[in-house]
Amino acid sequence: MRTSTVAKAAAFVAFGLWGANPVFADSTGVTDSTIKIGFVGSMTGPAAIWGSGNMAGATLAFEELNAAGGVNGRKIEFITVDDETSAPKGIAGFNRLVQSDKVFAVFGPSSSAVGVPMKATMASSGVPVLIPSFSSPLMTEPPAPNIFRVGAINDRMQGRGIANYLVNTDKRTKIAILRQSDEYGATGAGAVGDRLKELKMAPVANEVFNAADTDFTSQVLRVRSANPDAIVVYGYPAPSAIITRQLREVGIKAEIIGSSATSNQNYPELVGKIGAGTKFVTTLEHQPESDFPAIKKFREAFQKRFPDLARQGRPALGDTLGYAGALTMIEAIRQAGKDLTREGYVKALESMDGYETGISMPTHLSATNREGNTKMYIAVIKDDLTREVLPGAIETK
Amino acid sequence: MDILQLIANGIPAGVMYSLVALCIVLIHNGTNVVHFGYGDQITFAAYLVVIAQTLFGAPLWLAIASSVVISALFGLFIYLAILAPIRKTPLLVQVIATLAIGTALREGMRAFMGPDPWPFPALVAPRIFNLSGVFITSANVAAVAIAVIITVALFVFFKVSKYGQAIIAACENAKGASIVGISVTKVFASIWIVASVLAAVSAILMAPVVTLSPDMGLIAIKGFCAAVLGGFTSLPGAIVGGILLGLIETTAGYYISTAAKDVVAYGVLIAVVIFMPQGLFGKAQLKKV
Amino acid sequence: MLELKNLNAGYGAVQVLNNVSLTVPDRSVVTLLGANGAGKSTTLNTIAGLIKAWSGSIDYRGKACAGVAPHSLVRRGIALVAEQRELFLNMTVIENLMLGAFTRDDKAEVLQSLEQVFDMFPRLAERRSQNTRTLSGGEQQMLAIGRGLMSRPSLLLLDEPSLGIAPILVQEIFAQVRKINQQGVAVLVVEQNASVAMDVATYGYVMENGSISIEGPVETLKADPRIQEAYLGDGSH
Ligand SMILES: Nc1ncnc2c1ncn2[C@@H]1O[C@H](COP(=O)(O)OP(=O)(O)O)[C@@H](O)[C@H]1O
Ligand SMILES: [Mg+2]
Repeated sequence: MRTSTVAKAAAFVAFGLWGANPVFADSTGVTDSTIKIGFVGSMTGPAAIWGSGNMAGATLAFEELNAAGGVNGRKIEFITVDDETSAPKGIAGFNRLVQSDKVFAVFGPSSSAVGVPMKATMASSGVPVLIPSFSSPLMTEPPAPNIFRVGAINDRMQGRGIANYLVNTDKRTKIAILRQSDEYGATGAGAVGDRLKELKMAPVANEVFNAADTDFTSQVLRVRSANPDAIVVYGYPAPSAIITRQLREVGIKAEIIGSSATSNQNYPELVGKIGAGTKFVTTLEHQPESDFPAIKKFREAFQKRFPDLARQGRPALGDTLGYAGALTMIEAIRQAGKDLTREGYVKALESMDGYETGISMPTHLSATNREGNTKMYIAVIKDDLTREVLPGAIETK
Repeated sequence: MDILQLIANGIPAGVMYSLVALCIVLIHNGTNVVHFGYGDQITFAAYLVVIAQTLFGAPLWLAIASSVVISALFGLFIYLAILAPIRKTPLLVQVIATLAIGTALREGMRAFMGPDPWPFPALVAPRIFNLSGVFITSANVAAVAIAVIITVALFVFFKVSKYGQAIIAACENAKGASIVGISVTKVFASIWIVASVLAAVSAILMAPVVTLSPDMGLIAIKGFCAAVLGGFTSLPGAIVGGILLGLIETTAGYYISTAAKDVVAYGVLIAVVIFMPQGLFGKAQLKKV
Repeated sequence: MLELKNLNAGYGAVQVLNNVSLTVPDRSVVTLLGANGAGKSTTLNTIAGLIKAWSGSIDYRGKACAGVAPHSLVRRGIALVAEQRELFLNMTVIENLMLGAFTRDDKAEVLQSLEQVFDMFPRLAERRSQNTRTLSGGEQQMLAIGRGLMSRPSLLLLDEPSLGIAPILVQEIFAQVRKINQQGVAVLVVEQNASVAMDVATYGYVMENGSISIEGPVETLKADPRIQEAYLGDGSH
């Protein structure tokens, strides 16, 4: 299934559609006064952790835009579909947006589990897709002409970045890896291992855990036997929080670093006081709870627009990336000008070289590069469970 | 001596499975229904505590008390409004109804409380005891202690009290129970109430340790496995099955490989199902004609 | 007094009982005879509330009983000893008996009743802690009757106590039925084994295809050639 997905995408590239000059300009979904944008993402099911935020953030961005008169005189009509964290439903939802709703472009999807199986469908539709958050490298490797990602950092780069940070900045020499058993953990942790090899090192332990498990004693004790000075935990927030706690509970003092999945603002509280000092990857230079002016403005607008979500402690990472991704989309539409076509929009995205939303990482795309961000930051959980982003972006190349 | 640490952690991990298994068996004995929504009922009860605290500013004890009460009423509601009316339909319909209840709770909580995990208040102050190199946390001690209390209380209730005996009797033979004057409807309703109260208790023990998220109820899968290990009809079997599963998981992961942990743990489970279809504790159930 | 008037009942859409009327006076023993499948068990189960009456009335001691839940009828003094016995096979003898007293709160007197049951059926006393599953058919029947008595009923409904039991035990059981009646309990006993039933009963009904076809004092019935031919012949039923 996955191979065929990748193969199709590769074939697509090979057959010369890549970079081909379209004969007919395609302005499906565009009228003089409106642009139809579709969203497909996980609003329910386990991946709602990202999808519901992507949608809320984008909704806010588009509403603000419409209230300010739209882009080049056109208002955004936002049509959303819930994939329920199911790949078949994601594919059906995408097809509905493209075939019945005839949207101009798509925003989403929101998780690797749904997005990767959707790639072939998305690639062959030719409809421009902008991915705002999830991190599977398969979405951009190999690149499909119409699929872009901004804001997030893919797991391969993230893994490399973590290895770079531990070895070069923190001077760690005995690194243990604890990774989730799925594609997400395999890719990220695999990249850590690959990068360590390049740096002439090998992990002292390499352990696997299930996202849904609730006890990680065996993994933790095996790591303890290896006596590491740093431990990479590559997994979702719930298991990562338990693992972090259990690592400390059996007396391990080594530095712990988590993937960007643990960069949500309630994560420190999930781990508790025992987790103070834990580091994590973030692609936000300023966290959603910070008082950095652009972030604060976004937060206040978000909480006013979504009081129910504010009650849940939002905006969180997914909301922020959704908002920032939508701003990037709007900017590309603006650049594409009054005669809006899909080709023009894609060209405008490709020409982005350092576009900043003010709340997310700058976007660098090109005619051959579909991965908008390659930088990340490391942040640390402090004793009072607040979070501090350590200065200096980490290069992940 | 990592083996001691494995045991010290494997038992509390298993106790979590035991609590789930216990109630699944209880409900199954009484109603023949495997309640696939039970894990989500636990999650729901945990969220009730968080809701009472964050939305209504209730102190922890009141939040817990209200969670227990609402959970009990909710269990009664499930029985009276959903399962009792369809009790004459094929079992599959009833099982699907429990799945639907679980999904509704899970997605309802996800929508209302958000998809992110929630911090959950610790019942006991977090402390770590170092017993000459074996580390034991206060949360784990509390979990095991309360599980022991629950087990003893249930044992006494079912073995000694008239109402406990009535429940066991009605579970075994509903017709026989009704002709001795036991209201089978009341018994089944009380099973749902007891199981739902225990869901709240489990929630309070579990959530601080296993992290509260809308998907916390997935732990019920382990509960089902524990129940199968224990024979699916025996309450002590459910307890022992859970603890065994916890120990098997931790030791298999440690001594073989963490990647093979599930293969080994579930291999054992399948072996039990094949070679001891009655489980480790199940009674040979001769179905009456 | 138990009084059934024009009772109709059945399973699903299939009618089994057809205008059944019968009476069991207080302190009497009445028997309901009939071939296999005639509807005798259906009659008892309807009285006990396990089957819903379609129409007609069931009155016990002046109060309407139709539609009342089986567990409530126990509190009104009606105890059913079902044809399938419906014992709690995974529980011990004594646990079964104590459950028979579920509706009673007079603890001391319950223990007294227990002793009476053990006096009546010493085999049960010997096996009091034994799992019910391990009892013989006759012992299980004794236990079923004993459990029925533990609720201290004023009316005992007995469904084929002789079924599948060694003849010697049948005699023993019916001897006890007579004793139970002497203590003031009315008994409605269903039997295919007509001769043994007519030894204890004073009045009898014969059921055919869900209707009462013959009724009368036992002496009259015994003399009735139809009954002699159909139910008393060689006793091989
Ligand atoms: N549970 C049942 N469902 C449907 N039909 C039944 C059921 N029980 C008995 N019957 C039918 O009702 C009729 C009377 O049965 P029953 O009362 O058991 O007879 P008896 O006790 O006189 O042998 C028979 O035709 C029997 O097949
Ligand atoms: Mg019969």
